[in-house]
Amino acid sequence: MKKYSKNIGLILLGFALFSCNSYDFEQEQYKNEVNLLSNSQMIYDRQVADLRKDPDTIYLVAGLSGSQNSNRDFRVAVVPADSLLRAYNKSNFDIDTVRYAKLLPEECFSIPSMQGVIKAGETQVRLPIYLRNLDKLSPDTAYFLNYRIDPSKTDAYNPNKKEVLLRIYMENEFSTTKQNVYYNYTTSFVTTLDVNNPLVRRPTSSNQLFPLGSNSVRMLAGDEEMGDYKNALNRINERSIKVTVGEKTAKNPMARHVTIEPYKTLDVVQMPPVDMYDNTFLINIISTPDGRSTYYKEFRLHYKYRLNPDDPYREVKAILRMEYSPRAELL
Amino acid sequence: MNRLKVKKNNDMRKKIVLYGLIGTFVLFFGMTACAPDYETDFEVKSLVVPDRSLIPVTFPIEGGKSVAEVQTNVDFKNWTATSNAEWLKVEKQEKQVVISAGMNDAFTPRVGNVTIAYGHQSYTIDVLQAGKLPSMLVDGQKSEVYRSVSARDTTISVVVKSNMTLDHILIPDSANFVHVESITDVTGSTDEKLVTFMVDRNIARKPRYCTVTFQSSENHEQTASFVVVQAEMRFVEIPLRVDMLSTNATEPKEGPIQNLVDGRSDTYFHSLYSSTINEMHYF
Repeated sequence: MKKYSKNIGLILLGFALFSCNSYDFEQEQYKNEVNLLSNSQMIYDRQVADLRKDPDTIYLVAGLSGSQNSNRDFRVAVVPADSLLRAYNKSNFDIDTVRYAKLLPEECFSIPSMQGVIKAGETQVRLPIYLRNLDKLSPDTAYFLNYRIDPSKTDAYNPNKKEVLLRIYMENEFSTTKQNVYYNYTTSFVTTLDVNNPLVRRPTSSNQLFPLGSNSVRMLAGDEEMGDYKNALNRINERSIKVTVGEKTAKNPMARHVTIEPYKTLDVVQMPPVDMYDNTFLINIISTPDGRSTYYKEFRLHYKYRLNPDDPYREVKAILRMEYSPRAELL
Repeated sequence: MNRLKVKKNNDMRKKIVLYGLIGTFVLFFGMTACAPDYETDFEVKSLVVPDRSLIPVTFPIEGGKSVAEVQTNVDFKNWTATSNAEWLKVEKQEKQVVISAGMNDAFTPRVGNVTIAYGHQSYTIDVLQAGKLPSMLVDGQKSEVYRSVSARDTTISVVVKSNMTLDHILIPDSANFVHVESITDVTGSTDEKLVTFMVDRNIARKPRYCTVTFQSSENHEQTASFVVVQAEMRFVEIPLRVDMLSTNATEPKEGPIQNLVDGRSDTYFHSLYSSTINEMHYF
């Protein structure tokens, strides 16, 4: 019995040791096919154009599927398309055409080559897209580039990944369209300049900032409310100001002068600096004695505005502040 | 029986020797396992700016020079000393950094900082430089100047003395009955301006006030102001006399028009009803 068990054990050990040798782990597990990099909704939205660079470069990425690198080159060619954008608009907005996403205007981009090669041993090729004049775009509109694979000039490709929508996000030093950026009011006053009704309000709310150009942002004036962003276009146009950040001040290199203008139609007047409301953008570093520092981006504004010509002006003394991490911005 | 006992003793000895050897090996490996696999000889690079050199530096208006000590074994070319302001110069030298600033022509103090760094070992020295002393006076004072005017349209002038550019005159929206009319130089003076204002007529029955503030963009914190006090509109009582009254339609059978101003309550005036005239009655 003992000998019998020993033999069975040896046989099992033999199987265990040699059974795997018959499987070729080096073989291709799938197949080599060209695809255009995108998420499950066929949108590639991981890139953000920097408004400070003109032009800035983003990439249309064609990848090669398969568990092994190919030992031959794969040709890739793309052509402009619009079917995905139509599908995106129809499925997201249906008949609400005002909110439709748009193709990026031609004046805002150029592609030096619509063709590339995924070389043997590599898994992707990046086709550069140069973006410029992005300051002409509305931060409230979604812009896309729509491309699909050109079958006649592309080797084997995945039909489910043959088209892509490239989302065009924009950012500058102060804000981005990739996510909502809010600055909080602190030590701020909105005073109605009416001798019979001198109402003073102390906003403690937040104000969403949108990037406009390399050094400019848009925000709502005073403590005006945007309401539901989906239906807020008219309110935004009527109640927003444009703040442009300029040169460093002579007094403090961490502070820069700002200019306040109407975004569209608002009657807004920049007022002379008073106290800490000196019309500057300040990198405010608040340090504690133990060496820790908190970093804030601050707009220190002094202006007045009114929504109607017959209304009294509202004087705004505002500090709009957002905490940030300088190290994270370098990532 | 004896042979069996001897064999048992031999087996026991063998086991003792065997376990002894195993124990010795385990002990040996245990003792030597923690020894480094290789000899390390890392040189720790450090850069330290001592506390005495981290004290904020203050320069006078004329500028100056300050030296920050650097204790480091980092190669000279591998550590940095930078300034965040153009006016603030830094010069890296062996084991020290020379911080210097020129004349500050501005009317505000200015700040900057110097960063001495090697990788993540970074030290910041705050620097402050004084500015020229600003002045702004209205009629010789910074505030508490009151100029009283009548309720009529009028003009007033004040002398503003400042060594800065006068480029902001602030009149509140809620007191916009005062308007800047002109700004002229004062003869024989380089830092004085004569500022003339027009004041609108006050038709209200109470006085009104306007604080006018003068400000310069060269130092907005240095302001001067004065208050315009405009008197209320005053009404003179003029007694009504009979020669001030007239009518085209007096009823001859009733009271005449002078009854209106005779001060009596038992007399009256009545308009024409006994005949007609070709126009509307007036009084």
